[in-house]
Amino acid sequence: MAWIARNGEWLTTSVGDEFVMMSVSSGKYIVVSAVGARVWDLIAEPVDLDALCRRLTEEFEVSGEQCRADVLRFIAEMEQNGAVKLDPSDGAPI
Amino acid sequence: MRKQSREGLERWTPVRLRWQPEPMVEWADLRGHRLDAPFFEQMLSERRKAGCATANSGIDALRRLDAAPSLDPCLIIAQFSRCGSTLLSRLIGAVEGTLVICEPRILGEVAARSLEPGADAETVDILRRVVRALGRVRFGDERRFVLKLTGTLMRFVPLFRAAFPAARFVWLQREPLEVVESNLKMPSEWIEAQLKPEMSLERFTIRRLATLLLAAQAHADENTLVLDYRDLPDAAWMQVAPLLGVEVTDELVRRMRDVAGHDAKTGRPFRPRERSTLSSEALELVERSLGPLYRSLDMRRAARQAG
Repeated sequence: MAWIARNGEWLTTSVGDEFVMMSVSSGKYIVVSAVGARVWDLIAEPVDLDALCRRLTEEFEVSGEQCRADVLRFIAEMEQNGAVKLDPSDGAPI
Repeated sequence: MRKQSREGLERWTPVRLRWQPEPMVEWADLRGHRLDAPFFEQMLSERRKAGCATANSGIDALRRLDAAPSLDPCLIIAQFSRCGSTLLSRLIGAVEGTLVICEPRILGEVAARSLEPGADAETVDILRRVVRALGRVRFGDERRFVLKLTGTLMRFVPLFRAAFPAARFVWLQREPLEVVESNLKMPSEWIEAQLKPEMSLERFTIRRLATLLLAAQAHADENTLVLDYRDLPDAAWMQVAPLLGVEVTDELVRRMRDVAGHDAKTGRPFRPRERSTLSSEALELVERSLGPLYRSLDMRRAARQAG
């Protein structure tokens, strides 16, 4: 089970169907899609990958396999940008 | 590019900083020229065309030359773009002995370094020395130094605060619709260069302005004077001049009023603004994405003025 959590303080605003995010500490900003914005909402509290994917497949027309692949890719990008922390261990939430 | 010994760079001006492949500072010999043009880069471009000498040095030269007589900025202006910041800087320039440097590109080149992990302490140190080199006492009559930043540097304000803890900050903004209109009417060259084919200029502009307002939300703290375009020019003598520690005399107000009567960028008398028409989609986007951020900052401004 992998746990996913937000990392640091990010300010956000929507611009149409996009979501603009800025890191308060680094000044870095990133733009994500509406689905990305929903993932951001869902990781407001640390959540495990399986639970996140279950929730997303309930809300969006997507297979469990596809959802998992897309979420992992998205989370990897967010982690690279310093926006999320990913703990692949079976331990307690981050 | 002429060679120049490092010892002789004391009164030269750092104009570019490159990090790759080796950190390198480019200096320009701007001695004899005032640096407080409406845009530093425009002045630099004119000096380059006139054949001003340039030289390169390692980053260590900044450290070695830092003991030369220099001013720390007493005031740093961050801004929302097309919001009267050029006018404000010209008004401040009317205060005798005040060096105002506007939007030098090198500051962005230094600050961008902080986006790399672990670079913060070094970035603050280099930023401090670059800014002090810009604030070098070159004529002998400079008594205070004001720095105006490009809008995109608002997100790096913590670096400037760390480098100059005593400096005061101003955040200048304007009704977003007017800012968007102005940006669409006359897009900056760099915006056009960055615009991707699949994105409209409207969307790109609004997204960019959203990042500026987010940065202001994050960093315009209780020690930041929030001003609005509609506060100008009076705010220059009523609110900003006191931050510079100068006595606001009738003569100073008269000089500022004289500056305010002319377009800050062209020097021509002001003409009424022509209003462009945004699409209804863009109007809604501006209102929904920028409106709440702008108004939240405006409430801080109003609270300060009321208090």
